[in-house]
Amino acid sequence: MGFRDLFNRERDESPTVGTAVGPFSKSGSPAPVTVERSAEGSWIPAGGTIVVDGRSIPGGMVYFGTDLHGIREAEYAFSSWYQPSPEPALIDPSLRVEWASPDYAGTSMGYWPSYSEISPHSRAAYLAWLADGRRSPGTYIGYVFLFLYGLERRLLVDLESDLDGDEATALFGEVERLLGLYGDNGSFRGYASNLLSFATLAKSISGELTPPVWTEDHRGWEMPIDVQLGVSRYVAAGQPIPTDWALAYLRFHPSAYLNTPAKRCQSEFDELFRIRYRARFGDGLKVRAPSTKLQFSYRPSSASFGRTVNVQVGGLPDVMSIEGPINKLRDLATEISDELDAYSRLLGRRPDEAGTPAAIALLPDELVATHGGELVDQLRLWVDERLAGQQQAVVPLDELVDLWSSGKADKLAKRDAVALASLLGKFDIGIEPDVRFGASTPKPGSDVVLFRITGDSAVSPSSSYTAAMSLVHLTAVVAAADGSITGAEIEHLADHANQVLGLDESERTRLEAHLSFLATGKLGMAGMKRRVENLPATERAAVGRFLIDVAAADGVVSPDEISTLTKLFGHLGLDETDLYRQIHSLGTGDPGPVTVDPGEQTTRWAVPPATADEHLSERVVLDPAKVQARLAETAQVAALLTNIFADDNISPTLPPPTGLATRLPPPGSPAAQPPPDSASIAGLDAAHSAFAVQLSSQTTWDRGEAEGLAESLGLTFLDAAMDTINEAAFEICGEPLLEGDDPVELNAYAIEEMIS
Amino acid sequence: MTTSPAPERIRPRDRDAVIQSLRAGVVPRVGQQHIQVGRANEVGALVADIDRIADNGSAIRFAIGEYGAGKSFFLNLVRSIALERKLVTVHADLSPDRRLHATGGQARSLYAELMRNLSTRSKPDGGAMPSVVERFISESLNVARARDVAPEVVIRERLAELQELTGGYDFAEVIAAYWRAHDTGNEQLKADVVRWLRGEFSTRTDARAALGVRTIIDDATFYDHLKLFARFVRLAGFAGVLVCLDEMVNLYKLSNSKARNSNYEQLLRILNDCLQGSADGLGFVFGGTPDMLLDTRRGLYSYAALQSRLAENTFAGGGLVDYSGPVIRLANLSPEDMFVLLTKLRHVFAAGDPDDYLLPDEALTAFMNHCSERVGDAYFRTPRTTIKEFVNLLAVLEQNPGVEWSSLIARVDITTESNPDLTPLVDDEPDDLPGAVPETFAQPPSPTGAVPPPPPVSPGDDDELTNLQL
Repeated sequence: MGFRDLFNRERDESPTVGTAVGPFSKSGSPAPVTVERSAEGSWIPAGGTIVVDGRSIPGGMVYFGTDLHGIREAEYAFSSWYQPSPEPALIDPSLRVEWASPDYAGTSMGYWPSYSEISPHSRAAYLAWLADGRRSPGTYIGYVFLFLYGLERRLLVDLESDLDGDEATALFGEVERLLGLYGDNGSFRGYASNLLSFATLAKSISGELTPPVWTEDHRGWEMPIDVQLGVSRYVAAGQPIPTDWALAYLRFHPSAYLNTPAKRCQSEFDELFRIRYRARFGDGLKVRAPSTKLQFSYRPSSASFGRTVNVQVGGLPDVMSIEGPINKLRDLATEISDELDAYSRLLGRRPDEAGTPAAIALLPDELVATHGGELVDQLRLWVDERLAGQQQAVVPLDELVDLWSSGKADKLAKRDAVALASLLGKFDIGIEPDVRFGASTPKPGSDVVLFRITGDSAVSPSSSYTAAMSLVHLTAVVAAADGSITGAEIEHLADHANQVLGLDESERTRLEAHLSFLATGKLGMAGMKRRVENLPATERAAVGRFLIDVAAADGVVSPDEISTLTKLFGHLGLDETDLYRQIHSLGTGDPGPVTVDPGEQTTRWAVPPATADEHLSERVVLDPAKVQARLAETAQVAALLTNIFADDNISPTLPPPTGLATRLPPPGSPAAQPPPDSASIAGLDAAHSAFAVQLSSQTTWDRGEAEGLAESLGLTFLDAAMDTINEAAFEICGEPLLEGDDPVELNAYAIEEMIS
Repeated sequence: MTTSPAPERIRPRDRDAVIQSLRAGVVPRVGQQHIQVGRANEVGALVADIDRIADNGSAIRFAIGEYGAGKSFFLNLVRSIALERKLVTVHADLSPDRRLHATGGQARSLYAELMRNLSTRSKPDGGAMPSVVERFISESLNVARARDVAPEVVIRERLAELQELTGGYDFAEVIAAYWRAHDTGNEQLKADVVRWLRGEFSTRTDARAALGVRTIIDDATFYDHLKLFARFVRLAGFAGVLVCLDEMVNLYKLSNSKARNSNYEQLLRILNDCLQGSADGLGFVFGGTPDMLLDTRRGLYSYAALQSRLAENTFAGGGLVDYSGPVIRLANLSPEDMFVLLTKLRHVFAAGDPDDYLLPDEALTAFMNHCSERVGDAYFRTPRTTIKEFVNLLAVLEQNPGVEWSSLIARVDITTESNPDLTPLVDDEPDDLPGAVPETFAQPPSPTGAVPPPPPVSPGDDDELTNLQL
């Protein structure tokens, strides 16, 4: 049974992957013997000694004798006219050897040397090399090849059924040794390596395989045999390809075309590949076995074979013949490369930054645990400690930066701030202010808020979040205008954010943290204008209204708050007059009877819809309750005013009217000095009483006449006298007695009331 | 929704005054009590103020409301109440030419305007200065007669307590001069006394020539003389003085910040005196708009000391109200207020007799609907035109009995009012130039009373002059 027959033999049983069943039989292996003399074309095993031309050459591992044909010649031996040529590796003791002048340089050697054809000088050099233990450096490579021919024939022909036997193993060992010595020669290295792969093949077919690890110095376009074998076993068995085999398949596949990240960040790439591969394919990628069978080609170095040897391996399918698996793996690899791209670029630019927090922050989340290193653990520990089970915690930025940069920097560059935020995000911790969400880089010495991210952790803000944050910032500025933001105010704001602004859970959490942050420090107006400009014009008025409500939430709009509001209204492009009007109307309130449930009055600050000109086209609708309330209040004020303007109420301070008129002096009679007890009206003294009574005789008086009358009664000033009388008249009847300056007119009603 | 106000008698005089004022689009001077709607708390607060002033105390209030909220009406109502409570009232609208503080005669101009509008209960329309002076002298004459001493002695004795105050000595001299003038029949001297008291003398020289006194009431002594006058009216038998100053927005509109702040400083002085009770028998009521108060750059809130005194009570709010603070906020009218006001007007027009009502309730809402369709919210937010047209409507109905009201309402033409406060700010500078002083002055004012009459102003002196006057 020939070598090729062996490989061509169909298996009659399904292979059991990982077991030691192989196609090679161990039976019939001849025990190595020491050959001391020349014999006809026999193999001298290792350690044997041959004698050529009287000289003994130790070491063995050569064919020795006079009659051994080449392999191809043996195949064509049926042709009688054909004169077969001898085996090139056969050392024929009958041939002449020119011991005296060995051709060490191999100057007379041809390309495919044969012992029988090389010059006696060369034979001498070859034998000398053999005798020396086949180790002399700088030996002409043709001699080494000549020796290799023998090994090839022995392995591939004589030992074909026992390639994993002891002798074969020893021979492969010899090949490896020679490869080490003469591997510098490309040609030799190629042939020797190929030969060695037969060793691997031999073991692979029967034994267990482990996926080889790709290294950057792997060259060549050929997929290593063991990878092909390993993968095709699973394919043949209809089993999914395990992760590491898939990785090796990808790595070594000539058309994988892996990008830079896969090479520069091999460990990260491989780890991520494993994770993603499992995630995507579960137990592994399943490939339907292709009809093409796995086949290895070996081109022996020895001319003895005369052609390439093709070997099919036990009917295993050829996984290199199909595109499906590599396409799928390549897609996955592209994704992974993309994810690692930022990280890889950083390392490309700054190789020394590997392992720094900035680099770690660029790693995909899954890799942080495995590739994060000590820093991440420290950071994580610290954060856990600070949060201590709370939803959020206020921490000094400086401590965080210290931890982050290992004390090298005292502030956070914007790039670092982004990196820190994304690193923290990898273990579901958020930080506010977060540069990625439009905040500015926190300043050294300030506080920041760490919080647990709930729900999906977005890394960029939604438009409604931006709006909400602007609103919250603005309101916080307003709320802080009178000193500080109180916990209650934060609660109100958060409440509002939750209910009105339409944020999802993670955004709400973040907004709450942002609020906590706003509460930690002095709020700047920096950047406010830019943010506010992002708000739609239609919403600005509503925002303005909301801001006023916030300012008034504690019952008072303080001057500081007004000052802040004025600025904000300017930023919002709203009319200041509107601001004052709205604050004013808050102050006046509505004292009407509308009873408002106090529980509802407190915290609902829905942004009110625009109410402009609502009434314009509507009919007037009066609220009867309000009208009644207004009427009641009006009645109240009327009662108050009636008391003041009373015309029929007599002030209790006044002396009660007495029967005066009866004792009045007759009109016109001079009464320059009326007696003190003379008749008086309406609490007036005698002179004024007399004056009033006398005046009442006529409805109008010329001013001059009236003055004369007053003089005659001892009243120096007419105006003063009239004033005094009128005052008395007001007390009695609510109307003046005397009206006008010139002429002076008398009020008939008052006369009646006073002098009755 | 019928309304039946308590049958109260409305004097024809009040009725006519109210109707005429409203038809002219101005706030009535008398009879406001008949058309006051709501605001019981605000009125109550002011009544308490007035009583405190009458009790020799002091008070200050800022009635803050938007255009059309009824500030002027409120001020006039308060003034009427004060007159009823035997206070003397003075009132004026602030304007670029009439300010609390100035160096170009504008403060004296304000004083003159206030004194021209001096009112007592029997002279509610102003011009009561002679009455007040004569009341005082009459009292003194009575005393003099009783003690048989010269009246001038008594006058000086009674005025002695004023001499401790700034300008008190010359004030007493001037009052004594009035008696002399009366005694000697010197009408010119009497007129000069009244002119002096009204602050109408613009130079000391003139005052000295006319009255023999060295000082005049000028920009610098504006407020001191108000305090002096408040003491004087008490000696004359009145309860005190209430000063009503409307249109404070004119201070707010001063574009020159130095001028504005000087006025606010004067205001602070007044505020402090009133709150500390050191202005005996003197009270102030100011009328202004919200922005005038709240604007933190130019309004009263821009002046830190005023801000802290005027800021609201932090414990008020949340439904609690505090009417004891200096600021009284007047809300704009609501449709319901307007409705009640129309019923009041109807009542006044019928002289208080429900049988004489010219319109049923549904006509009132129909009228409001009509106005709403024409001008929208403005019909109750800025009610002046609405009220005017309603009174006109009533007048037509009264003179044309039998006309269907519904047809008349449809013909009412109403337009939106514009807020005069929204006109551009007046430029401050020209007002300070001597030539721009209002014509009401008897003599051209000089920039200041403290320095000798200045040389003719040359263009090169502009800077100094401007600085001085602001």
